[in-house]
Amino acid sequence: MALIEIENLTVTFRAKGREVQAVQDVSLSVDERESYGLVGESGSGKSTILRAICGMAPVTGGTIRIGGQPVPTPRGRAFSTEVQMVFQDPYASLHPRHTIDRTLSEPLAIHGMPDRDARVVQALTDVGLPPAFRFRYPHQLSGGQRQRVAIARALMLRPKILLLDEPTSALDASVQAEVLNLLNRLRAEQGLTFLMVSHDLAVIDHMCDRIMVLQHGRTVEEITRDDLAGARMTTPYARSLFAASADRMLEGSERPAP
Amino acid sequence: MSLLEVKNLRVTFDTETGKVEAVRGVSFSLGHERLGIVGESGSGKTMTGRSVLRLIRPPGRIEADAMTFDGQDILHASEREMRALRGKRIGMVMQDPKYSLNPVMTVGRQLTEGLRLRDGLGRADATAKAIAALEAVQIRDPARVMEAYPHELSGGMGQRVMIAMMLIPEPELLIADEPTSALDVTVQAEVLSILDGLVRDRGMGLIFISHDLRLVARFCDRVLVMHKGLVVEEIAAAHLMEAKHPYTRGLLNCLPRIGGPREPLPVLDRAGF
Repeated sequence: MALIEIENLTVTFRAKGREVQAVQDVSLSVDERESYGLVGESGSGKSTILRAICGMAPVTGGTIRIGGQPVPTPRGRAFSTEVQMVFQDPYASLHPRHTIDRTLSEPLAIHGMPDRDARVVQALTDVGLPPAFRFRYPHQLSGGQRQRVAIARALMLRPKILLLDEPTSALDASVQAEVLNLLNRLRAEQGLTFLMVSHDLAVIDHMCDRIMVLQHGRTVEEITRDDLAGARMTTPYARSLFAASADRMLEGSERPAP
Repeated sequence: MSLLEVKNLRVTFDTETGKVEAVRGVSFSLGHERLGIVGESGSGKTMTGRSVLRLIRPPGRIEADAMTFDGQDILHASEREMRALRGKRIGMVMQDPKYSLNPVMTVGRQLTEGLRLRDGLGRADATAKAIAALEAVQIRDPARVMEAYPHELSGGMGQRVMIAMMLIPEPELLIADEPTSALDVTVQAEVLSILDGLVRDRGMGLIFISHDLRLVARFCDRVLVMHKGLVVEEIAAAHLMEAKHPYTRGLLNCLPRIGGPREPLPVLDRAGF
């Protein structure tokens, strides 16, 4: 049985009498310990799917099941011990006036967990930060360090599922490599399941086993990693995304004639 | 003679905790070609671009042994002389249309403002020229875009509006600072081909500043790789894969590739340089 099952999900935003269907009739299922990627351009609805899972988007149709059970509304405490999210912008997703220690121990306090001290130190060590960082504020950290803290925060409750919303798009290329390596190591060590969103096909390809291409809120194509690498996509849109991305690669691509 | 000549450029900020050197001795010359400047955050690439227009505010200071544009000394030019250069002969496209367009002016007014004030054109002539500029950057419905406010445009449209605005005075040199990093890949490809066409058709010089090594390599003729305020390597874009400097190699290798191996990505060893 798949760990995450989404069937015919539809999300509709209503504002000033206008209706926008951000996600239309999207279905997907992710097995335990699998890494699944959602790729598409701005407005394709990829982030909205993650937000819908967390109860942060107005779902108007379809079902979301985690471990076979439909998710409750509101999501509740049990949900947050199963599913956590890492956001795109590490500058916006950490509380600027809370120390790292406070950010990391808050979920433990809410859930009444013991050994907060030891767990915070362990969480920092897990993401490769020195324990002394506990007493710093977000503005005293670099972008990559902040994203490590955001990942540590998401893992505090030992969830099974991590929803990753463009976790490296705000970072430099070399820092991106470090964070991607960290995520892969944590997935192996903690047996995590990833549902990851990115606009960068190469990043998704590096991280995920199966990939769904979205456009205008609809599924365009679902493709395995091997088929992507072999350029065996069946729809023109997926091919154009691949071409725009492969274009940027140096090997095997011709420079456009001047 | 080259269009732009920069010798030993230094940009220093005097802060409470002492001097911070953002650019520490950068030299390059540019003809009618596409020069890429790549580096990570804080490498000084944006400061180098802004220095050419002397757009660095105190406490920042620009020093150089020489900085000339088309034979004119821009290091010691008066503010009045600089104003005559800015926009008219040297244009600059900024990174983010959300912050660089005036949010309370329609696109049409922003595009025609310069034409009417600087070139003294009448309303009808200015509007016609602005619409032509929007068409040149492949905006399909220029009349609607002229009436729109920046928040009513998508990122790609906003970026194209900024490029159109910079191209109206037909500058000889265009400095584009991350002109496509806020855009989707397919839109990015479109904006680049527009820039490419303009460089080719108008014989413009282009300084293309970006953090994306692969993009720069594909788009430019020559690449300067910057790190901590210094140029660590200068290389023809076609030969980028044969780059020698460990920093350039590190930047190239740490990027994931479609169909690449599933091993951990090589990480830049910052202690090395």
